[in-house]
Amino acid sequence: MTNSRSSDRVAKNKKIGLANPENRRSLVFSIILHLVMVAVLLFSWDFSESVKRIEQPASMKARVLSAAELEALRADKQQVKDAALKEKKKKSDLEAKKKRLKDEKRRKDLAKKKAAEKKKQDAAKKKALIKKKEKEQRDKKAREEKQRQQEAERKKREQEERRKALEDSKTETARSEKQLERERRLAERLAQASSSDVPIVQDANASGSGLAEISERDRFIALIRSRVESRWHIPPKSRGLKVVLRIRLLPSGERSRVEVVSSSGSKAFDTSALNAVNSIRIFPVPDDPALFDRYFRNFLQSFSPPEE
Amino acid sequence: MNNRVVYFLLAMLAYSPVFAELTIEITKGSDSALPISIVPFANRSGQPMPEQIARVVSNDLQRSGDFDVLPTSKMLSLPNSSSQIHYRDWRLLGQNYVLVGEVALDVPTGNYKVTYELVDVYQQKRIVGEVLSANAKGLRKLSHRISDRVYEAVTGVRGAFSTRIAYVTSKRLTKNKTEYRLQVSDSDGQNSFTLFKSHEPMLSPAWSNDAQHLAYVSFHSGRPAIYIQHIKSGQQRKVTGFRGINSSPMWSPDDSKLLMTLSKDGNAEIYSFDLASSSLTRLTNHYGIDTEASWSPDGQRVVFTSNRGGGNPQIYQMSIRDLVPERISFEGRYNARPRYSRDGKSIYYVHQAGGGFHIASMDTETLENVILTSTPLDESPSLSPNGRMIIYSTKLKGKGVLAVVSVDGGAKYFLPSDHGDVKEPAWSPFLN
Repeated sequence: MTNSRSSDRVAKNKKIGLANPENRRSLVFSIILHLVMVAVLLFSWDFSESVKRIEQPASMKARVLSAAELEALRADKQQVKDAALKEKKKKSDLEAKKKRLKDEKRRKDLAKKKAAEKKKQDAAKKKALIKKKEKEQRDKKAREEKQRQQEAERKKREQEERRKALEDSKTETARSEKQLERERRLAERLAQASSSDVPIVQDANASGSGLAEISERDRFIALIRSRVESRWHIPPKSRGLKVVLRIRLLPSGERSRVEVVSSSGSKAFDTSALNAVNSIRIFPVPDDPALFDRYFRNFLQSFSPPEE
Repeated sequence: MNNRVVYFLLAMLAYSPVFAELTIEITKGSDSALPISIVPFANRSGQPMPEQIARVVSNDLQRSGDFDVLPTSKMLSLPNSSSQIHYRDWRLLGQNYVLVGEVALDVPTGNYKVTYELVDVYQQKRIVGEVLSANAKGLRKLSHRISDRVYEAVTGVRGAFSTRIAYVTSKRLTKNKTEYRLQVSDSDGQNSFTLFKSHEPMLSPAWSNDAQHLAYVSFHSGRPAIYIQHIKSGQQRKVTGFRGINSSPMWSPDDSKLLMTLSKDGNAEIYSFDLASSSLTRLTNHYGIDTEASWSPDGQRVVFTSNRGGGNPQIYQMSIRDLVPERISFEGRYNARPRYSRDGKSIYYVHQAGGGFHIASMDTETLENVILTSTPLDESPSLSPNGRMIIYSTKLKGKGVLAVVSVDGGAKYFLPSDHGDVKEPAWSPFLN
């Protein structure tokens, strides 16, 4: 984009010359435009990350840790400068980590896809070979064994990757042991939250003060989720459909408004989601007004049937 | 220039999400069926009703497995129109939908006027409403129609309650005399009538796609032959009666041809019979047995049973263009009588597992399969036209009965039998 723009400019320079006041104006304009673009890009990037689902509430992390940092500030005012610096560094570290997590996820997805493809190919090959029932059975067993092995391998790889990522971050930033531990726990909790719907309630209080807010939020997300899931009757033939609703709540948790933000295209499917939400009059929400305002006054809920 | 800058900025802003928002993802639903209340319809005819409409509708919806119908005894009120509904009551009962209605009688014509409304309790609005009329005999059909409308309004899938099934019954009269009947009934097994009766066996009834004819195999002439019978008039036409096997007729999607198994050229092979010209085209050529063929809904493929792979029956599929059979079943030593789903994406068949025969389904793309039934001797699966239910024959206390199971393996029920053992069910297409 910048290249074409500057080549544009060069072309113009040739034609009219830089001395031309109008040209100078457009140069200034162009510089301003670039600055604005950078600003907008930064702005949008920051936020697009925080829209992601709860596995990666990276921006939340930043906020939470800064709260912890503030406490430290109060305790020792002399470290104001240090803290600010540290904070900045942490932010960039977090962003790097965010990216790593994302990359890792992409890698994992790719690996999964590859594995799935490989499995398909294997099945095709096997198909041609199968002739006798004994062999069929043996093949089946082998396939199952292989699947098990693949699954085990995949898990191992994932663990290895996660461990490595954390180690890398350690050497890169030389963060304190405590922080690392905290992050490890967070990563585990996030992994847990994404793999199962079991809310991470038990250890919410045990973890550090910075995590308390996130776990409080996650706790209510899990509560809302399980409440809605128990009321959602998925219509038949809904595979691949998805509807997104916007839900507005009063501080008491009372449902005030529900609307379809993005329709699935199927009226029956949209209605099933609306009915699930509308069947709940009072949602579980946190007592903390700040937490409520930030996340639960107005939020989105996406509905898609489980993949088989 | 200025305009370009403005457009550019606008475009950039359009791509940047402005608000950071929480999204809660729901990817699981309740396992229970959808709660619905069918309130008994008010009878304003001044006479006892010949048919309890609400009961027929309740039975239909309950059997589908997709609904959980509230017993009348648990209802807090019995409204007859949407204006009488207190939504709070039904919310308290955890009901998502309520069906209400009433019946009036037009005495001079003897026609019943049935008004019904389906309301969505949480959205507090009527989503379906109709006025229908029928004579006393047509009330049952009318009730099934209401079930269809309710089912479609709520699930988005067309209801198949107003369809029919065909099946063969056999009843032993004396020691060496058995009566066979080709029966047609409503999809709930009611209103059955006999299309053809004989003292020799009948097999493999198959509905034409316009639901007007049945093709089947009968032995009444002393040896097997394939017949077509018009359901309304009862008119019967003999299609083939070659020496040896004449079996497994199956209509092409446009009803112009029949697939069938004939052994006239030596052993069982699959042929396509053109009904207009009475010409035969041979589709398979193998010393193994090829039988039980069925067209894909787009008419491009044929799936059939064959033991060409080494003695055991397995399922093969071939394109109608090149006629090269490709084996698609690999699990177990017995897989037979395949039938396509309406969208052609699945195949339903009989699979032997653990000593019993069960109905299974297979994805035609991935070849992944799922066993759907659990009774020990399950045969001849036939899919409902909306693809939600499968009817099949099985044994219950030593007697042949028909059973229905939903394709996701949930609901299951048995159909009553009125003439002894029941076998070979075939679910009709939509009737209109």
